[in-house]
Amino acid sequence: MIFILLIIFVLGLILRFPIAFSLGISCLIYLLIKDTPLTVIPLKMYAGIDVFVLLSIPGFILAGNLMNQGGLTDKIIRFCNHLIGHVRGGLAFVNIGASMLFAGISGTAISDTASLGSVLIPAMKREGYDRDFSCAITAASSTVGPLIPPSLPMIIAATLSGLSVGKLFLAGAIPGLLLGTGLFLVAYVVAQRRKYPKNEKSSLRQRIISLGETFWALGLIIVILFGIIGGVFTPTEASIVAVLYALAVGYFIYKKLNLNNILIVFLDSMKTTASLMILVGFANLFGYILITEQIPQTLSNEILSFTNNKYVVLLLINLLLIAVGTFMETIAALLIMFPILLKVAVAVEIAPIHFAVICVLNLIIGLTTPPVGVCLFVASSIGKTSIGKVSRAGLPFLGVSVLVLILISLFPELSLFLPHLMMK
Amino acid sequence: MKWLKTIGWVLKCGTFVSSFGFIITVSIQVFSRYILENVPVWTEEASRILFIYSIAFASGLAFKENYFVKLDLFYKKNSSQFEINLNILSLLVSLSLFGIMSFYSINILKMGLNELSPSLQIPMVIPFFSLLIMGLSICLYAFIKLVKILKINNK
Repeated sequence: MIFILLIIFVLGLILRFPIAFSLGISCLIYLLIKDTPLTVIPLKMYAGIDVFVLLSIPGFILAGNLMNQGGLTDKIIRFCNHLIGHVRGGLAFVNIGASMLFAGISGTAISDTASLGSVLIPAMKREGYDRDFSCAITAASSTVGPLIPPSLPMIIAATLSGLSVGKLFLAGAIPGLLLGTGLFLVAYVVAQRRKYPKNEKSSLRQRIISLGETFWALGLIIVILFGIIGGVFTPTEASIVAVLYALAVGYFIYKKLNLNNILIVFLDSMKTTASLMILVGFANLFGYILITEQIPQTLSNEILSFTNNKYVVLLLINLLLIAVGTFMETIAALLIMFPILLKVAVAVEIAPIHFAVICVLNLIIGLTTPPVGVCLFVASSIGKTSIGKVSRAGLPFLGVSVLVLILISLFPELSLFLPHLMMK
Repeated sequence: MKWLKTIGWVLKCGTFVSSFGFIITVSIQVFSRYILENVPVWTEEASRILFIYSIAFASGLAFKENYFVKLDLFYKKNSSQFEINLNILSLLVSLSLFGIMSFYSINILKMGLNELSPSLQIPMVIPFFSLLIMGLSICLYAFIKLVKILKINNK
């Protein structure tokens, strides 16, 4: 019976139905065949989105969009340029550094690729960097975003598992920094080999002025992180404080926001949120069906009858998730796969927080993996080059991501150290 | 089509009001905890209801402007008949799915008439009504898109 559900879902994807609707229609047909009352559809949808912590999703999306509208992207790029632009291949480092800073505000990889890429890819091309490399590094660096807090996939994982959002945010921090450092190293080697240009070294005064301009943007990251970790705010409250902060900075300090563009940003952010929440609603219905069919339990038993070696199970899960992440959008894949695989992971004594980081990292690797890597698509369309060329240029970065994934899988402390240290 | 513009305007206004509403409600929660040292019990529930309403109002607009993520693996940028047929099928599926959801949400509305929410003590029919807005607004825009495609196809 469950195969009908899966076949219709996959068929819906192939026929280019929206992912949320493919989930919905497969559930609908399953319920009709099973003669289950269809009232369960609106009931489960409502229950899926009636969760307080999910309010943080529009909050962080709104805060990121408001700060972006307030000219934040340019300021972050300028600040990173003053800081590291003088090294050979400086703009490549600026790209990674800006992504890591921007990640602290936006929380999604695709928005990082789009907003930073639209400024940095043309700038890199002007300065003589290869077009494919410029696109590849933009796509690769933006995948750091969903690991460094605040991270939308981590909020979703917390909602699905009942884990603390604050702990999951902290758990993603070291892997995010590790991934960023790995990308820096690869970019450095490529820049040295290809003799990419370097900018003049900025004076201390220029750096201080630039830090002053970026101060308010960096302040938002501090408000969010220390607010949650310090127990001052819940994640939802932190996201709303971030919105108020972004409104105040954009309106009174950067003076780029007015009533008109505030309304546009609000509407755009809420439409994005609505599309995500309908997906969450249908995923809740999908999850309900899987649980009534005892799929997580059956899958867990099947895998454990094959092996109960933690590392073999992790290897299998990693391979499965990379394959899924290659074809499916991160949050959709997380909503479907995480609850099923968590059961398996817990059975072989993998800590749920550690497993959430592994899941998110796997799925974001998919964002830069052909044929469906969404960040590759966005970057290649900004750079006006083929996705094949960008994919090839991005292979060393992909290698780093896989290496970080192996490290994170083998050494749980990389994910668990900060949550254990800072949150009881 | 003035009525369609009016509906679009109502959905936009609803999105603004409910999203501003949940921002204000959560802000009251933070403010009252640190300034008044006494958090009103209704804030969490009110913010959840306003959040669901903001999603409900925005979902039709999101559908209209293609915000829903698709798997574009087999996508080709041409207007072949095959692609038009796929679009028609996708819209028919959307119409059926949300039509059925809207129809069955009426049952939930009836259930909600006799239930009160835990802290606000309002009839649950009020929060559940958001499901009907969500379903009907997506149905409306799916229907309009379908009519447009069929008209173009016939020409």
